[in-house]
Amino acid sequence: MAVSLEAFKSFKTVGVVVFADTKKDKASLPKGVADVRAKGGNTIPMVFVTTADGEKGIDALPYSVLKADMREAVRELRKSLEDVDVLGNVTPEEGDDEEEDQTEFEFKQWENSAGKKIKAAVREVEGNRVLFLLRSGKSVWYDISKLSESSQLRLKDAK
Amino acid sequence: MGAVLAEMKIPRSIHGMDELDEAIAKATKKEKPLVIVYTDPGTS
Repeated sequence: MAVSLEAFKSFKTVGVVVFADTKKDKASLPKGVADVRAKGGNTIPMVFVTTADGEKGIDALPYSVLKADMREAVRELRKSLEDVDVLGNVTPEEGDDEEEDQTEFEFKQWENSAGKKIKAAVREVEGNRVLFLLRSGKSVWYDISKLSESSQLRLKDAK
Repeated sequence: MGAVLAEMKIPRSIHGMDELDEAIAKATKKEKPLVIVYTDPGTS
């Protein structure tokens, strides 16, 4: 096998890395792995990405991708996570599979209290939640209290 | 010393599955995802 275990340390820039042994850890993998297991393919090693609590699958990288260029795989993964709430507390709006006409929305950068930034347009504010439209066309509800102070102020001004 | 998986030594900063709860707590605190490297340490 051409991928060294040491090489996986680079995934520390993406999240908290956990090694799972195919021989003894299969049954104890976090629940979210099942969501993305098929994408991982049939060759080990493979990488699964889940929400911080392990409850929801986010992505998987099969061996072919890891072998081709591990650095590039890490870079792409980091990029794809920019629009994802890794805490898993974002509820996709019903019917969000439909393409959204984004031309009427103004996309701005928003930051949460942990410093994570996303580019999104505000579609609606309801109580203590805001409905963000992401570049991907998906809409997600987000707790306003989880935004940084400056983003909360900006949101208040925008209303 | 870091955890040991079969013959392979896992760096201290990386968790084994026996430390999953700790990894989840750390990921939640840092608002980072879990990255699970699924492998056979004897062949990787």
